[in-house]
Amino acid sequence: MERDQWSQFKLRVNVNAPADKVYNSWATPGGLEKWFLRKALFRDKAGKAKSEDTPIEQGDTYEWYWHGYPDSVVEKGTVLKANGKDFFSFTFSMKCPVTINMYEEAGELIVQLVESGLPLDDDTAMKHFVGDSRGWIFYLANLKSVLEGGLDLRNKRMELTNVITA
Amino acid sequence: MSRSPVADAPLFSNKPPEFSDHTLCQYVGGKGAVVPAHIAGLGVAVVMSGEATFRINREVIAINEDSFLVVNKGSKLSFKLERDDTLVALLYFDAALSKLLYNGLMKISDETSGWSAVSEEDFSLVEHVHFMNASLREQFQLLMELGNSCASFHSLKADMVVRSILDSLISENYHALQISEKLRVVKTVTKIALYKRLAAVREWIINNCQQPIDLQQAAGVAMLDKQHFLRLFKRAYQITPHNFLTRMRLERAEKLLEETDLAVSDICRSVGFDSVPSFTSLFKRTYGEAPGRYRRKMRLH
Repeated sequence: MERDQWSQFKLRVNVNAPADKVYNSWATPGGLEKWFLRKALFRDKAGKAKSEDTPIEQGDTYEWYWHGYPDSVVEKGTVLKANGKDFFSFTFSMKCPVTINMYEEAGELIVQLVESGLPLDDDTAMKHFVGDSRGWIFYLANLKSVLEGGLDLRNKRMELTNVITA
Repeated sequence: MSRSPVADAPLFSNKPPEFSDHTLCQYVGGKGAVVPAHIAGLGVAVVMSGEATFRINREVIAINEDSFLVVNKGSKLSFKLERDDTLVALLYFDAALSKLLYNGLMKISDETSGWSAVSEEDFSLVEHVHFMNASLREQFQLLMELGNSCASFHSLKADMVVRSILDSLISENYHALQISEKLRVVKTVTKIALYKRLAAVREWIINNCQQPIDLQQAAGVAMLDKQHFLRLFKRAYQITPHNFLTRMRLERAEKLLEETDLAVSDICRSVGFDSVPSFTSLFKRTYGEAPGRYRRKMRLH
């Protein structure tokens, strides 16, 4: 694999659910908490906290907390774009942009995630590429599971560690 | 991140290592095992179990599960494990990130006198023994688990924990710089030594405020003459040691009032006051309400 191919990855998952429901799973605090986060705090440009069903917009900032981890494990970032329909983008690990696209293919809705701008230095390239892509693979599978069957696969117990589900 | 026996511990050269990523070294070994002297990077050393004796530059410091040590970049460090069950975790920060965060903090903070004279990589003021807190212990435990974990986003989560530790360290160093300037001591070596002693006493008072503490004892912890200590403490923290002790006791009492159903008289004694009337009067003067009334009001809200 060429060096620059470590700078981004693309993941796709087919989800059998209405497009607006899938979009709201990404672009509302409450939606994200159903399949991804323990707590999703979003603030608008004025610093006002958003309620769980308020749409997330460009320029909002976030604090994300995961099940199975204390509040010291917090990721902070910014929403880069949200078109209210099928495109959502935000900064993530190392401020790398993550872009979510939704489109139809062969009669199914595809959710496509691209994380780009990953560091390419010898010491950390693998860590970011493998670590982040592996994390997203589980959560995209959980998104599909929650939206299609209602089964949340996440581990929510603090005492259970070293599992791919948290 | 992996756990290494002492024999495999990374031994660095005679210049500070430049870590391009956060590095957690874990040392286990029998009693008497030694990690020889080496030049360290900026880091935090925690004894997860057992005891260890650290030699940092010319100081010898005993660390156990109740304490931890900040290590400044460029310091000469060695340590010896004092028990068979000792586990030392030494977290070294990514050099580039620590500089970045430091500069970020600089931009949002006011310029202070003397600030520019100190390099962003100098953490010598906070290079001393600190009292362990539950949150740091939990963070180190988490780092050790995440090091070899298959958990989702495990390296990202480890980075978040490290960053949270580094944020606190940078913030503490920033406050240490500000406070040390108030000592009005010209010679840097003296300023650092005095600040470290005062900071150690301050932490000691916080952690022992429920015990009877007098000025003589506190000065003894600082290894300073009583009057000299009193003058320096007040100059640095803008409060006398006695008033600081009272404030710590009241803060602890306020927490207990809010979080427990203990009787006011029990709280009074458990935080270190002898007399309920004087506790009540001090509490009312500080919080505007008597303890019982304050508790009812807090619970209503």
